[in-house]
Amino acid sequence: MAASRLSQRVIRPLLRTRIANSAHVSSLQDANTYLCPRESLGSHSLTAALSSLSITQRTSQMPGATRSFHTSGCSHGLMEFFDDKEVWAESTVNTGRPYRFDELRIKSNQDLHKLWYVLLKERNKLLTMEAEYKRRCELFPSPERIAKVEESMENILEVVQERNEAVNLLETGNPSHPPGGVVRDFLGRPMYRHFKEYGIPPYMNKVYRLLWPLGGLKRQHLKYLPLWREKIARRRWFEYHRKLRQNRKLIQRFPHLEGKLEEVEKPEEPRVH
Amino acid sequence: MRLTVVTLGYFKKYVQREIAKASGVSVYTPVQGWRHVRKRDWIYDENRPWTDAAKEANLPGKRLRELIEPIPESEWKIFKGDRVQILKGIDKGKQGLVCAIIRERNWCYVEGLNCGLVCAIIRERNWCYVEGLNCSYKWVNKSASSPGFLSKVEKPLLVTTEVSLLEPSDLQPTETEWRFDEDGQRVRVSVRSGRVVPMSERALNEAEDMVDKSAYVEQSWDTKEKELTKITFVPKAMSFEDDIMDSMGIKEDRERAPNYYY
Repeated sequence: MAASRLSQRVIRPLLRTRIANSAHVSSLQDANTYLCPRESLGSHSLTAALSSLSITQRTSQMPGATRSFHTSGCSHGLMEFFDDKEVWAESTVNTGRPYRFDELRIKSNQDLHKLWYVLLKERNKLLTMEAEYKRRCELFPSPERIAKVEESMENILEVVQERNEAVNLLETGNPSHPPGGVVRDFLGRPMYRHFKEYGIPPYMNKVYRLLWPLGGLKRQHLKYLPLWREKIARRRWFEYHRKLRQNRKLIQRFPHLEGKLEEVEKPEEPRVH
Repeated sequence: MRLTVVTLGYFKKYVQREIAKASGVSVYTPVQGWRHVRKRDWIYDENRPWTDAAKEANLPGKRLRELIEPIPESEWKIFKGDRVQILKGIDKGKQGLVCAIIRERNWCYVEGLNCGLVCAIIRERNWCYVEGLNCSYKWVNKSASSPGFLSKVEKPLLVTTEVSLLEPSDLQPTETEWRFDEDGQRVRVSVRSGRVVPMSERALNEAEDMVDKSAYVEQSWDTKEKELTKITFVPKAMSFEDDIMDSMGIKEDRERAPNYYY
C-alpha cells in the first residue's frame, strides 16, 4: 500500500491506497454531461487555458477577460483563494469527475503543464475554504472535491512519468531512474529501498551510512536476524490459520460455499538473507 | 443518503480517508515512520462511516456478531432500481423497487409504498433496501408539546435469501445468472426462461459517487466535451521538462552536477 505522491504533503500520517483507474461501468455515457473538475485561473475556463497562449502570457493579461464565453469577471489577488460568492452558502457544490488517464494522454506537455497549475490553484482554493468553514464551525460543502482534484493531479504525474520513461528507454535503453533495490539496513535486514536522488555519493552521506551501512552483513546482525525471521513467520502462520478458521466458519454457516472459497496459500519462508 | 465505499475511482479513496480519520490511530516510530493502525475491520451499516453513529458502532469493544456471506463482485445481481419480490419477513410476497444497497452487509432496502424516504446504496455489506416494505415505525420530532409524526423507515433485507429478482415477462421470482449476450455484453439472464433482466435506468445513470449523471447540470467551471476530446499531443523525443523549457524559451547551458540514486 504505497502512499500517494500528493498525500504526503496534505495529510501526512494517513497512508492512502493508489487505486488504478479501472473502467467505469458506463464510461461512454458520461462523456457528455459528467465533466471535469472546476479550475480557476482568474475564472477562465479550461478551454481558455488550453488555448495557444502560454502560461506566462496569460498571467500578464489576467486583469481583462479575453474570451467571449466567460460569464463571470476575472477575480484576481487573494480572492482567488476563495470560491465564488454564490457558492458559499450552499450545502453541495456540483462538480464533475476527475480527469482520466485516456483524457490526459491525448494532451500535449504544455497543456498538462497548464492543467497542473489550474488544478493546483483549485486545490489551494478548496483547502482554504475547508479551513475557513472549519474556523466558522460549519460544514464544508462537497468535501470530495479535494479528492477529485488530487486524483486528477496524480493522474497527470502518472502520464508525465510514462512519457519520460518512454523517452528514456528510447534514448538510453534504461528506465528514467532506478526504482529501487534490496539494501541491508543497520539491523542487517534486507529491505527493499525506493531510491532517492542525492547530490553526494553514498560513502559521503553520513545519515545514509548510519541507517544503511555499506559494509553488508556483519557479525552483530546474526543475533537479530533469526529473531526477526521468527517474528515474520509467526505473523504469517497466524494469518494463515486465521483465514482457515474463517473459511471453516463460513462453510459451516453457508454450506453451498464449500469448494467455492479461495484456497488459503501456505505462507512462504521469510527472506532474511 | 447512505453511502460507503465503492469499488472504483476517486470516491473510494475519499471514503477510506474519512473512515481513517474517524477510526484513526496514526502511530509514528522513528525507523518505520507513520503507520496507520487499525486491528479490526470496519463494521459497515446504514450510517456514513465518518458519522458519530458509525463511530459508535465501531468502538473498540464492538464486534460484528453475524457472518457475512462473501459475494464476489462478478456475482452481485441486485442493483438500485431493480424490481424485486420479498420472500421473507412481514411484507412477504410483495414486490417493490430497490432503493438502496449496502454491499458490505449483503443488505438491500426496497422502496416503500410512496413513503418518500431517501434511500441509498451501500455496497460493502451486501445490503439493499426495498422502499417502504419490511419496515419498522418510529416517532420523529417527539417533544413535550406534540407527539411528533410517525415515519416509516425501511429495514434491510438479505440479498441472498430474502429478496429475489423478477422474471420480466410474468413478474415472478426467478433465479438469475450472469451471461454474455450476442453483443458480448454481460447481462443478467433468468435461468427459467432465458430472458434478459435489464438493468434499471437508475443504476446505469449513477456515477461512482451516487450522483445522477442525467441530472447533472453543467457548470461554468466544467470542461467542455470539445476541449476534453481534442487531441493536442505530439510525440517528441524529449522529456517533459525539456519540452516545457523549449516552449517557454528557457535555455539551460550549465553543466549538470553529478547525481546519485541510492
